[in-house]
Amino acid sequence: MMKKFRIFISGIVILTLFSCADTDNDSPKDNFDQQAMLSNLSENIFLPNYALLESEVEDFILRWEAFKRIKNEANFIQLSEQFKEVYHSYQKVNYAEFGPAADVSLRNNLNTFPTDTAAIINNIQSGNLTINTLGSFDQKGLPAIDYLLFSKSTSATVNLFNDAKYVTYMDTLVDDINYRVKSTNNSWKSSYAGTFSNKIGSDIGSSIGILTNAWNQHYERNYRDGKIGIPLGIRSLGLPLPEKAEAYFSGISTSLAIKNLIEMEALYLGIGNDGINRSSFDDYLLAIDAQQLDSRIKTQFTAAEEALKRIESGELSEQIKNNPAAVESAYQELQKLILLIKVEMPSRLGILITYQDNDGD
Amino acid sequence: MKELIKRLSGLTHIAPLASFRFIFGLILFAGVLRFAFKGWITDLYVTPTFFFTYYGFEFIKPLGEVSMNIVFVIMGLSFLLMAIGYWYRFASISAFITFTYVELIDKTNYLNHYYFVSLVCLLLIFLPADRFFSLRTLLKPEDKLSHVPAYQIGVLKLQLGIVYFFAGLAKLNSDWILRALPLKIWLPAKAHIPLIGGLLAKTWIAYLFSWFGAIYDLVIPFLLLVKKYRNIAYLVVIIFHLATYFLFQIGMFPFVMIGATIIFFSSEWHLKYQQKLLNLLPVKKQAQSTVETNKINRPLILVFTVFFLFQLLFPLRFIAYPGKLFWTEQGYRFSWRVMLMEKAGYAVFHVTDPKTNRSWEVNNYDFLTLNQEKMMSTQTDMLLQFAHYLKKYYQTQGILEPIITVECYASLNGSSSQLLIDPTLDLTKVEDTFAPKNWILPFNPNL
Repeated sequence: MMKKFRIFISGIVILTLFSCADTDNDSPKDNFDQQAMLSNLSENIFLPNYALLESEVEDFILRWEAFKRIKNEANFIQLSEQFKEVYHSYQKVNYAEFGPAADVSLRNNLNTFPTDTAAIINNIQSGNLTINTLGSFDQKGLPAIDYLLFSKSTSATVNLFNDAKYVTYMDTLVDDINYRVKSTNNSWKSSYAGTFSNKIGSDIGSSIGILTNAWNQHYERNYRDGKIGIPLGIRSLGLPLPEKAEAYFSGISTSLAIKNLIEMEALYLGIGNDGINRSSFDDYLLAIDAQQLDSRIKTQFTAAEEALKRIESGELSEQIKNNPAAVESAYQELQKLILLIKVEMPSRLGILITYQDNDGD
Repeated sequence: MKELIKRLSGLTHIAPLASFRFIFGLILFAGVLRFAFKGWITDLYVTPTFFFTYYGFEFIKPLGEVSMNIVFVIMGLSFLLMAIGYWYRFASISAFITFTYVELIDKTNYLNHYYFVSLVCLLLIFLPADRFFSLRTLLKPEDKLSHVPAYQIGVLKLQLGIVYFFAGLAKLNSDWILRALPLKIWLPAKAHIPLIGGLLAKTWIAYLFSWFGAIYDLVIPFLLLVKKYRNIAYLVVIIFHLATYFLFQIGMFPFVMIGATIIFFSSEWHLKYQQKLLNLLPVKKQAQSTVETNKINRPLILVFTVFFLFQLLFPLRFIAYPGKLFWTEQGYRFSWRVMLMEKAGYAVFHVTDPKTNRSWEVNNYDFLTLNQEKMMSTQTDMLLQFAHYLKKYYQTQGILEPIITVECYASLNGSSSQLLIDPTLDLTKVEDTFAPKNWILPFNPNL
């Protein structure tokens, strides 16, 4: 028996050597440095993006104050243009709803749409300023401001704010946005950036796991569905609901969607606000020899952007009514990207998308 | 045959069986606590609106939130009673019923080790594991039993042997052996681990682990049977399972196996450690009770024979199905296929109302939890079940004859994703049976 055992052991050794010799094609490849990737994302993407959002909100507040002092069309135009800047800069952070952003429910509070216009008017008329309840997400944030600033003609809107009740409600909305954005940015600056960079690994509590899950959830529900699919009618038995588009009243829906996609591509590639491409998911895939997947992801980002650009002229709600095939095709291109970033990429990188026990089957 | 029955019925000391009961009960008790503290009772059995039932067990439904918690309290207490060996017959029956009931609610949560636990609980019902080293015999020494027929311990060894051996057989496939898949994908994901991380990124390590894992599973039950190799084999058991615990997210399974394999040790070994434990208790040393033995129980032997015949045959049913097993998963569950493949998918259900000719897509997340959706996206029977659920749902929405198709892409062991089933097939017209699902598209490994 001992002899057999020896044979068994030497068998293992031989097989091992055999398999080394046969398959040692992983030439001196450096291990992928997850920490470098996370540090890059936090220092060159998240921190500057939150800082930018905060400063755009501050600018908006300045213009709002200016408008309050002198309610004329010139000041209003400045205000509404700055609003679009804020909305666009929010597209740089909306896929990262975890950590400090999740702590203040940044997404729900800043961008729940469609907004409940009847409830907003009711709040304004009744002087109800308690917009911090779970039920009031659709009466606040950017979509509520979008409604207040863009649902009427410029002159009518300027006139509207001669009513002190409107000013008070707007003040409340702006304060709330400012508070949440500042809180998120401060937490990232003071502590979370370090926490984020240090939680390496690919398990559920790791930063790569948290980010991938948050990004995918955003992409699937808030991006593909929220921005395009729902207005197109995928959730309403095929009946289009163009009025459910993001930024419906200002009509910048498609522009926001394109911006958001570019920002998610920048995340994937690791391109910071300085335009420099550093370590991120693409490099991680290359490090594990998944070049093909990486190039398919890049190609699909481009295809999706191009499809969105084809519906860029004119408001999304108009495109859905007049050019549904083009919107549908953009939706399909976005759909294809999900498969790559939600299924294939996490699968290759060993990123867990569930917290439950698993024996791998 | 007579000789075999005689050997199986030869008397052996009961101590290993008693230790097994104690360890198994404790580990499962800890498992129930862990499950509850993680909030999984609610997450898995209260939150979902739809449950993927098992074929033939469609009547198994979750109870409400309060009742589900009560079920888990009973389950936990049962394992605790089992461990201490008190009210054992009740405890083993109720452990089996509650545990199996919960596992049958939703196949999303299928784990091979849950199946193992159910089977062991079933076996324990028929074994006198509380007649030694138990609260019962402490309180009532006259109930003590010192010897049992060998088969009463042998069935547990055989059960463990089946788990290991079939798990090993399942690894003898070209992906595992020739391409070190899926370990070649999983191990580099752990490259950040200090000290050994760098090694885990190496291809040859994936091959070493794959080959070692397969050989380990195939030979460990035999090595554990032989006294000479038992200690070293058990050391390997501990190292192997701890390694899987640290590398993968597989919950209690490693501890269940490390605990259960002690059944292979000799009665002297068990008696020694049992005495050490008993010495910790403030009880008087008891005089050894009279030796009482179980008689040969022919009906019981027959039941065990049928039980194990089923277990030897059922994992082999995959042979009857065409196509690549990992892709079709026909005959995949209940076959000890553990940590065998990396599979992920994405399913988009398309619904058409023939009356209006309007089409739309289903948001799976409106109906399914993250994990349910993930599991469904790679398993054809679950895709079909969900389509049937959607049919009923849309019928309540006034769409009487919805046409439901699914565009499901899956990726297996790092392949590019490809269509899993025929995307033009109206799933509402298809019933799930044991017959081969000819609407599963073949897997193309070269994509």
